[in-house]
Order: sequence, then structure tokens, then C-alpha cells
Amino acid sequence: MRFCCEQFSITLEGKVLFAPLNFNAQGGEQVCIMGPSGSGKSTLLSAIAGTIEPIFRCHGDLRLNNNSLIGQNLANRKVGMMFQEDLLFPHLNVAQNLAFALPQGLCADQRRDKINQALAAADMAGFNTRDVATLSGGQRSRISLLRTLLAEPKLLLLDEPFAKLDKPLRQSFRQFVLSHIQAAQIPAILVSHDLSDAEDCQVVELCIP
Amino acid sequence: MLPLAIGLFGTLLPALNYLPSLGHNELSTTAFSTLFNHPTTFSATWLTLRVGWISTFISLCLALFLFACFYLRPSWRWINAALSPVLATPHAALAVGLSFVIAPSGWLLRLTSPALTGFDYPPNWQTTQDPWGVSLILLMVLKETPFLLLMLLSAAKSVPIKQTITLAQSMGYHSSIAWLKLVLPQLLPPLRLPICAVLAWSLSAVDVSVILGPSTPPTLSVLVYSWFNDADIALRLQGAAGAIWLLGLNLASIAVLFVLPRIAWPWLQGWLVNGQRRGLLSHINKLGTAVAVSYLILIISSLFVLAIWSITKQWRFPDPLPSQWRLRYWQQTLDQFSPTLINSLSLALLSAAIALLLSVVILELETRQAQIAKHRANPLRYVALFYLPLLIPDIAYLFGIQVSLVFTGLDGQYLPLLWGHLMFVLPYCFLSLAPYYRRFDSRYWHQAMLLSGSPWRSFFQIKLMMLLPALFSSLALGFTVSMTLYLPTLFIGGGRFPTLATELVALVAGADRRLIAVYALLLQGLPLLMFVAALALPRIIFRHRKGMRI
Repeated sequence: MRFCCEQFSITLEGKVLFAPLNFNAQGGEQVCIMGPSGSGKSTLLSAIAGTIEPIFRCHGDLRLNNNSLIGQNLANRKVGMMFQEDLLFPHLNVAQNLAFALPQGLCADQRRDKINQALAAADMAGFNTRDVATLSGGQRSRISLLRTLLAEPKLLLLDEPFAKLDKPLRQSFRQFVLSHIQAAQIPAILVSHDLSDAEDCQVVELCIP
Repeated sequence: MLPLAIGLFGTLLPALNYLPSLGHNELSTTAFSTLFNHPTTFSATWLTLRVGWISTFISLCLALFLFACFYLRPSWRWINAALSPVLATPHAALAVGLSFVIAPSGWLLRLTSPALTGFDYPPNWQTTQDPWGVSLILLMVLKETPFLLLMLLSAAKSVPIKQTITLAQSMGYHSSIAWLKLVLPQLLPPLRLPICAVLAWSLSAVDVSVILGPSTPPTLSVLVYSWFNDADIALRLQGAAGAIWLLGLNLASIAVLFVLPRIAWPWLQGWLVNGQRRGLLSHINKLGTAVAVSYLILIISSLFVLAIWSITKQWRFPDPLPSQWRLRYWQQTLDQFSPTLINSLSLALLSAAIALLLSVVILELETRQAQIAKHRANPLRYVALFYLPLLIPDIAYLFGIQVSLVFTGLDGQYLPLLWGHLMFVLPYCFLSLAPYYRRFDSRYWHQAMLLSGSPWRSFFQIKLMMLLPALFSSLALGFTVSMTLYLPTLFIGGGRFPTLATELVALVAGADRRLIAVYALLLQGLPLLMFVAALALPRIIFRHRKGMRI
């Protein structure tokens, strides 16, 4: 897996949000995008994910395994995204939340096994029927990440996923994310304005022109 | 909107003396001159304006008063819980219940006689259908106050009331003055359309005016309605002119409502900042509990007395309760009127379901549109469009619709009737669902799309399921609205589809109180059942989901 960002920039009504970006990310590698608030960090992620609002215009190219993402529809992109909030669906339990992300075409046994494996990897075995509203903040974040990964994305986007967690939790969850993207061998793009998130990874600064 | 325009046009033409089927082919103002020469027109107009404005004004004051007294108190929970069942009460059923309580032979005098009043026979008073319309005003206040309270509640969500009051108190303002000077000016502007709807309804309601309103003269809407139904078909033209006259009064009243704040504002501004911190009103809030309790007692006794009457065999005047009971009226009614019940239920369920479906489609399209459009489409314009049928007296366009249905041979059939119900049900379904639908966090939608890649699964499994409680209550509201429709059912159905509402109003004219009580109770009970189900079902489905509690 390899993600390339080539001379990519976004304009809103003719105004450029940030100077054209160039970077590469290999499978298992994290890129941390930093910049002041309002510089378009979240907009960049939504452009990569395909959820960007049509008033924005994209220039340059985004390539995942040499296929351009520009103009592709959401379903074919295979990009996973974790938002600042965990956005667990409140009307579904833990296992149902995970099951929603599983690809279709698996038999019931396979689905159950995949969910149990994922829960075990998060030290949350047996949480299947728990109400998501009763989970702790750290547990919610882990379920949210597992759910994103179960959809088998080829690229993972993280929009300040650690901002809502306290210090000790941050550290362990960051390790959790890193180990999972390395196991899945997919590149991850992380948006943050906390310098400690940028340790040991490639940093891309967004500059307001 | 098209049927509304057709209906208004179809009323306007006969009002201008054009109704070819009756041999009137030339436009003239004869109908209007006979209308204005009619002896009761002006007294009926005066009565209508008086009843409409007074009841709207009292409802508004009462709603604001109760809101200010209770909103920040823990007892608000009780008021809030009482709102939905009262709102779900069809006004005709409530009117019948109220008349059973306050009539000279009603429950109120039965409970106090002869101990307090000394009456052994019902006194010769006119407490219902009184010539001043007091009982009609009382009913309208009872019915409209909870609606305005609900609207206040949704307006209050965007105002930091508690902080505002605390801030003002720290400057030495009494809390009631702080309410008047700081909170009210923020709450009233969003309340403008609901107040207009209340006023329009009070000016034009037919069913409750037949039950509780005076008869000589009746209110204008009842007068117009009786002309439409007169055996002398020439009176149709006069009726159409009357309906247009009522429409004019209605529009003029709404215009006054819009102009009044603008005139009063410069004068009020001085008062707002004059620094006065206490006033006569400082102590009035102690009355809040008394007002709320007497309000609830009146409502509950109105409904309770229906239940008693429906199982009564014999109830002599000053006895507080019946001396003999029996269930025969229930059995007899349930045996006889199954077509009435089926009509009511099928119309209500179908129109509510279709209205809900349409509302979801419109709102989903609006959401998509808002993503594409540069700025969010101004939702107020939509809302005004949906309020339109609520702001125009229904009698003004129903006659026109009836005329065009007769013209096309579609009158008295089920589908046009269903469509007519839909016209009234859709605004309520849409308006009650819209705030929840628009507030839905679009990130959940994006997350579901990214995870599943399927718009269908994201829509049905995530969005609609998360909105399920709002969908249920919108459905229940639509059901209630359809159940209460009186005039549209008569006009569009051509009298061929008796429903609980139409039968009840017909019975009130003379039938047995016990039979009336059975009908009123059914009309009251079915919507209540729907509301209870709408509240209970999401709670049962999501009983293990804390995040789904509203």
C-alpha cells in the first residue's frame, strides 16, 4: 500500500486554503499533518475520504496504489476515517456497531469470529452485547478504531483522535493505533495540533499562503 | 399548495356570483351585498373577532406566565409530561367534556349542590353556548395554551435563560422583571408563526363553536357553514362571500399581529432600559402553582366526566356520582358504528403514514440540497409554506375544493378524502419532524457511508433508526390531526364517510349524554393510545441503549 499526495491543494471560491502539498506514505507508516486551526486540516482529510462538500474545489492528485482517488465515489475509495468524536451508533450495541462495518458476503460464523477477534485484540472480549453508552472514553475510542479497521480500508485517516483523551490514555491509544496499522500494513494520515502526536513520524506542515 | 389555490379560487368565483351549475354566469358583487345586508353578519363578525383575539391573548399570557413560573423549577418535569396528552386531546372531545363539567347540570354544580349552592334542580343559567362566548374562549384557552408552551419550549432551547436570569439578579433585578425585560424579547420572535396559527384557528374553528359557542348569533364560521348546508342552494353564493369575508378578517388579524410589535417596540425599548428592577409583577409568580393546578383539574375533570357518563345508567341532578351504572352503551356503540371506527382509523393511519413518508423525502432532499448549495437553504421559507394551510380558515378553501370535486365527479370518494386529510396532516408531520431531522449530526452519516459504502444501509440502518423516536411521535401527531378533522371530512367526503369527529359533532345537537360520552371518549382515547405507543415503543426497542434517551 502506498499513498501519494501530489501538488494537492483546495480552493474555496477561488481562495487557496493551503500551499500545494507533496508527500508519500508507505504501508504501516504514519504521516502527521500539522497546522494552525483554520488552515484546512480537516478539509484535507474530507477531500481524501470523499466526504468534502462540493463548494470546495480540489487541485492536484491523490493516489492510492497508483489509482487516483479524485472523482471516485465514496464506496470505491476504501478509505477509513476516525473523527474527533468516536461516533459510535447509539442505537446499536458493541457487536452490532462492529458488524455494520464488516464487508457483506461473509457467513454468520465468520462475522462472529471477526468481531470476537477484534474485541480480544482490544482487551474487550465479552463486550459484545454491551450498550456503547456505558463504555469508558478509552473503550469507545478503541471500538471506534476497530470498527473503522473491520471495513478493511486501504488507507486510514485520523482527525485529532486523541484530543478528547487524557494523557495516560492518549499514550496507550496511540500505541494501539500504531500496532494496528502496522499489522494491516496500511498508511495512516493523522491530523493534530499537539506536538507529542508527531513523535517518530513524518510531519507535514500546512502553510497558509 | 395547488389544492389550496384551487380551493380559494373555487370559493372566490361563487362569492363573485359565478356558479354556472346554479345558473349564475355573470360576475357581480350581489353575493357580498346580500351578505352585508344580512342581519346577523355583523354581530357574528364582532363575536368572532372578540372570541378569536381574547382567547389568543389569554392563551399567550397564560403560556408565558406558566413558562416563566415553572421552566427553571424541578416541577417543570410534570408540566412537560402533561403537555403531550393534552395536545393529543381532540378539541371536539375536550369541548364535550368541558360542557359536561360547566353546564348548569354539569359536574361542577353536581359536586357543590346542594351543600354549597342550595340547588335541587339545575339552575336556569347559560354557562355553555353563552351569548358572550365565554365557554368557547375557555375551551380555546385550554386547548391552545399547551401548544404555545410547546412552541416556547423549542424556542427556549436557543436562549441561555438560566444564565440571563442569574446575571440580571446579580444586578439587583427581580427574577420576574428579568423574565419580562430580558428573556421574553428573545422568546417572542420565533413564536410569531405559532401565535398566528392559534389566532387563525380561534377565528375559524367550526366544530368547537357548534358545541360550545353561542347560537344567536353563532360565530361567523358556523354561520357560513350553515349557509353552505342550507336547503336553499342559493345561499351557497352568500356562504362563499361569507367565507371570503372570514378569510379577509383572518388575513387582516394576522397583519395586525405582525405590525403590532413594530409599533410597540420603540415605546417598549425605553421601558426595557429604564432601570426599574422591581414592580407589581414581582409577586405574581406565587400564583403560578394555583393557576397550573386549576388548569390541570379542569382538563382532567373534563376527560374524567366523559368516562363516568359513558358507563352511566342513571344520574339524578345533585348526586355527585351516578346512582346506577351499565356498560350497554359501549356494547351498543361498538356493534353499530364499526364503519365509523374503520373510516376514522384507516384515514388516520394511511394519511399519517403517507405524510411521514413525504416529510422524510422532503427533508432528505433538503439535506442533500443544502450540501450542494453554497449556503444552507433558508428553512424559514419552507416552514412558512407549510404553515400556510394553518393560517387560512379551512372553510374558505374547502367549499372551493368541494365545488371543483363535484365538477370533476370526484366528490364523495375515498381517495380524494384521503388526499384532503393528507393536506392537513402533512404540515403537522413535517413541522414536528423537521427540527430533529435537520439537527441530525451529518458526521454519523459520513461515518456510516465510509464504513459501509452503501447509501441505503447508511440511511435505513443508521439515520432512520437513530431518528426512530422522532419518526414515531410525528406519526402519532399526524394520526391525531386526521382523527380530529371535522370540516374537511364533511366537505370532501360529501357526507358519505362518517368518522368519530363528524358523528360526535352531529350527536351533540341532541342525543343522549351517555352516547355522546362514548364517542367523545373513543375520539379522545385512540390518539392518546397512539401517543403512548409513540413514547413507549422507542423506549422498549432501545431499553438497553442509554445513548438513545432524549
